[in-house]
Amino acid sequence: MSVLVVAEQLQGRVRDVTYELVSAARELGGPVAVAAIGADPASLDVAHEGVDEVVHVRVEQEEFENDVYQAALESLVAARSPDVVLLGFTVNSMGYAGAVAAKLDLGFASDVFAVARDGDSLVATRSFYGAKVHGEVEFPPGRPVLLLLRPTVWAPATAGGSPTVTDHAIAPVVSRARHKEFHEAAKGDVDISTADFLLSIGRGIGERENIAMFEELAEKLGATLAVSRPIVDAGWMTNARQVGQSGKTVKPKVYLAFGISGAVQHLAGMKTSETIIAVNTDPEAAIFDVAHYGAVADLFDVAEELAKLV
Amino acid sequence: MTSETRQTFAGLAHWEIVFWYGLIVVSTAIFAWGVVRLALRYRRGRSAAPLEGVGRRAARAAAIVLTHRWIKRRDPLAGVGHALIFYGFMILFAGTVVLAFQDDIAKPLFGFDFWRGGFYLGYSLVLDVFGAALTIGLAIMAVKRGILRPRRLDYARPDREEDRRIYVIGDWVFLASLFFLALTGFLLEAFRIAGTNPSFEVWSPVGWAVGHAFRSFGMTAQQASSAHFATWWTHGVVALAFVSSIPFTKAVHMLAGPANVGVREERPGRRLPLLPPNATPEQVGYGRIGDLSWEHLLSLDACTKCGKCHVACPANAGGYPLSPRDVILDLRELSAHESADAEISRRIRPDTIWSCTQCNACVEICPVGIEHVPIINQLRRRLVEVGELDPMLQSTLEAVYETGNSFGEPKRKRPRWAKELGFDVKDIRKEPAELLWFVGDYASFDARNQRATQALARVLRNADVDFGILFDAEKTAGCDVRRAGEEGLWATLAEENVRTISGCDFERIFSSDPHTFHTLRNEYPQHGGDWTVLHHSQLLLELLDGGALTPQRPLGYRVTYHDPCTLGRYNGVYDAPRAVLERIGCELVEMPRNRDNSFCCGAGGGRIWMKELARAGAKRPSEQRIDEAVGLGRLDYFVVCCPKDVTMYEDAIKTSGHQGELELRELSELVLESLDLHVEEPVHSAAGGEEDT
Amino acid sequence: MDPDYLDTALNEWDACATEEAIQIRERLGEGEVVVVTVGDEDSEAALRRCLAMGADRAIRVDGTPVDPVSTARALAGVVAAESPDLVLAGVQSSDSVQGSTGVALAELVDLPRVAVVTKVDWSGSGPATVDRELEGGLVDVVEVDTPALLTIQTGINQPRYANLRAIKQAEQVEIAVVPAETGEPGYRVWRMFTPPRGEGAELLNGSTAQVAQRIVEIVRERLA
Repeated sequence: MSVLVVAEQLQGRVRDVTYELVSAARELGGPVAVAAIGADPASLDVAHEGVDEVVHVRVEQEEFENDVYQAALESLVAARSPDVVLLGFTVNSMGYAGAVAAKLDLGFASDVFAVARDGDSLVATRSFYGAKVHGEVEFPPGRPVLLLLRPTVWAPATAGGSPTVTDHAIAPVVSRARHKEFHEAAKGDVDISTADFLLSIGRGIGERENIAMFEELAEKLGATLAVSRPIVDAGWMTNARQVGQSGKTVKPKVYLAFGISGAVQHLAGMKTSETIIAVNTDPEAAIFDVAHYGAVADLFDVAEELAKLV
Repeated sequence: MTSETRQTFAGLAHWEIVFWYGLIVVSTAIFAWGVVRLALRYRRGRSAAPLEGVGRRAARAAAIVLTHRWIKRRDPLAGVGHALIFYGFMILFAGTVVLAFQDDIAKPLFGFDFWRGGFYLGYSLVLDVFGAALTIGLAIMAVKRGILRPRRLDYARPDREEDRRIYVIGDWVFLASLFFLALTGFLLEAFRIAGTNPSFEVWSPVGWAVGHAFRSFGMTAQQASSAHFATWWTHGVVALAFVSSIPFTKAVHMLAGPANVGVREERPGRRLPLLPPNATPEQVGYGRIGDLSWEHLLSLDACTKCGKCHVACPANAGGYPLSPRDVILDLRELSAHESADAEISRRIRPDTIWSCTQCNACVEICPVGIEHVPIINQLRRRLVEVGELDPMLQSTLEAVYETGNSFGEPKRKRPRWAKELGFDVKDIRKEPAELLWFVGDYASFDARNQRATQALARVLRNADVDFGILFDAEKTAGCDVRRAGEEGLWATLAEENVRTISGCDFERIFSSDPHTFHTLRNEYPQHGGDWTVLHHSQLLLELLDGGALTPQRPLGYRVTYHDPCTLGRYNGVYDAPRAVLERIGCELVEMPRNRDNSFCCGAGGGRIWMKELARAGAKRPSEQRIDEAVGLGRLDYFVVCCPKDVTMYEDAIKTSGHQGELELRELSELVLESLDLHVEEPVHSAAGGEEDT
Repeated sequence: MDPDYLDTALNEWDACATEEAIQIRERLGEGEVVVVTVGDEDSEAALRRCLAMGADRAIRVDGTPVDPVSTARALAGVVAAESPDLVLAGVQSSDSVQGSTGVALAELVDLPRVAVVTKVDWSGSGPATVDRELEGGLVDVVEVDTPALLTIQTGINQPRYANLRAIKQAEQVEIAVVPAETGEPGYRVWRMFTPPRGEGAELLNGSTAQVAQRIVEIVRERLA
């Protein structure tokens, strides 16, 4: 099963999800080709273990623009007819993958966390009904399948492959949605992705006023405060501290979660933490599925007791 | 014919008398103009349904005002002071009217001259005594304001700084002008007696004593007579000025107070008004001052700033930016000085409106019958209409709409508590039962409350009560949805529940949730649901007294009991829970604030679904209540009979630092204990069970 | 799948998209907000909530497509016929989390598009400037030609409350229903199953003080 992976890059750096896609591609057998799209594709480090071929697609635009990636991918699919195209389930891919699938009438699914071959056809596993059930979806053979894979599920392929390199030329693309600039969402002086110990809070804390209590607790414990998406959506914290699919992926030594129910998008950003401790009032909370230690308790009571102990 | 009398206008020239009548006409005109101005102001309000039972209302108002029943509550000294002023003023006023009748009608028109002899002497004595009463009453009020200074008379606002010296000045001017009138009245009497000195004037004892004192200090008849002249005019002019000022000053409460007692709802807040059919957004709630009903506009002028609501309010005590007094005063400022289109939000912030627990403590104690809670509810309705509500409340209301419960849980989880009983509970949708148990959200979904709910189920089974529940067809009854101002959602819930209940075969309904009990009993009739609804405390008492339940032993616990607002103040059920405690052998020790003065836990009116609004460091109402209970000395249990109380006080016992000193019990749990039942544990599935070993 | 266990509701992303559309109309002082969904009659409740929030008109495409591309095909006809100046969609639905319907739709009606938008700045004509939130807190500022399609991320606004009075009035509003043309589904659901539970967490029991004590011990041990 020939697989085409589209590398994702930001400001000249290849993002980790690309290497995870390579690992997933290898599970399907291969050969594995990785498309490096950019103004200077040769500078992109995509030649990792398991990559058979790197395809350089030179474009004018330095940064991601969905019209450019769409044109590049359509051209690649037309020229190479891969059986499977793999992209990360990321903000960038969401900008063009659906469009390519619709235009080329590809088999398509996103947020996929497992793939397998079943004879000639491909079976992908994803969640349905708010992650209450998992579903295996099967693609009819005969047309290419485009999958967006959930980040952090596959281990990234390690550096050091020796793929062949080919060039694929496309016509210049006139973008209808043009990148202007980048800026930090908010000036966060913290980097939660490098902290060893995260104290993470979620919707369960109820009120903005309660944040102060956990800020204090984090300081006492020597932890860095992180938050889940609802806290950022409510405007209580900037998303510099946000863990999860639309925030940062973290892998601290200890992840201590208070009042986080464990939406899939959140779990995607933290479940590879070395030790996960979850405190939640709801014994059914999904966070307990990935936690190593769990306490079904009032989080404020536990927080108060913790503050006393340190 | 006896000759004891006096000349009304002795010593006045003819033109002076004409001038005096001219003044009377002017002052009466000003008074009348003031009253018309008020009436026009009230007419700007929305017209509500026409008043029914005017005679009955007048009789009720008269009884309440004349007995001072409302004024004397929780402050007997102020009650006495006010009664002395009230009756002193009324009798002196009546005396003046009698005199005017004699001088201007009876004598000139009919030659009927009755103001002499025995009548005159009695008249003199009565007016003298009530004049003295007025003076004493004013002195009491002055001492309260100036020396005792109770917290309720402190005009500091909980929500913002505001210069309110004008209110203080107004109060003192009002007191002082009445005092001045009483003083000059006595003085002019004394000067008259000192000048003419007829022996029968001993029937005016105060005037007699003071007049004779003047004489003994050497005042001549001539001097007394000149002083009388000057005092007469001073007293007269000030009295007329006072009368004409009544519609413009604090004295307006003399008119608006009794009027409001007459027009207000019999039980305000108990049954909130429906929205007009097909209401437009502008018709929902109060957003502009002209949106208030004329009755509510009138009630604003009845307020005397006595502050009884201010100190009864749990939100105010808990550091929230709300004082019911200030809500009324803010509305009054708008009503008095602005056009009907003035936006209420200019003076009252949403946080203030959202701080209210709708506990009705303010309405309960208001001596002039102001409906703070229904007014605040109308303010909330507008905030909900324009979407100005905090995100937590919004998501709760959305959850109620989507799932039918405030926890946002799937409806199939509602009857889950019944699974663990070890016996089946009837599905009243499928088979008839004597009693329909409307369980309510907290009692169904909250883990701690489920224990109380199960205890009640076991008690009822022990008493062979034939009851059933609605299982997943029950939806939030909506009492707090309504009190949070989401009238449309309440109506939807009520319609659906009425439809569901109407399809069942039963005789009576009961609930262990006072909020549910309240709205089913009093408000569902607005949507066609007219049933006999009981609170479980009433049902338990019935079962105990009817012999269906037999306590095996007196429990012997020393307990205190907290009256839920919706059970007590809203429905007057004070005795049933107390009687149940007595029947099962508990010794009840009352907290200082009990029955109608019960102090809200802070959860009502949808507050349990909203973010914290209290200022940092303030003690929550529920914690203050636990402190109050702990202050009673050693107690075994803090007894409640409301699921929200269970939640609030279980929490407050921990957070107030009294864990270990006091435990909470729901009434049903104590009744169950008194039965000494062996409670079967839930049956575990056979797989891996003990049978295998 | 037992339908009794399914609740239908307007999902968060679509609520934000509707709110953003209404806010744009309010800012511009003119315009019409039309809400469109594809689904069976049950899905009209979500449309009515949008109407109650302030949308002007609602259209339901009658059909129950399963995958995002088919959903986009079902919507394309209506969008082409309405030819709006701006099409807003939620980034994803809360149940399926495909995150692709909007972008597929843009392709089918040939509109420029930006996905995962957290801010919209548009004067009513000419290009719009929008923020696109990337993973890790970096914001990509994008200029997009209009008409365009934007997929809206939660957090962009706080959707207003649709009160029941307004919803009841919205129930009087006629919702236009058009048939769906979906084409071939992009996949076939092979089987569904409840997720296997992991080994599960070791439960920390006891009083809150004991729980806190254990947490401190674990943290110290793991950080050492």
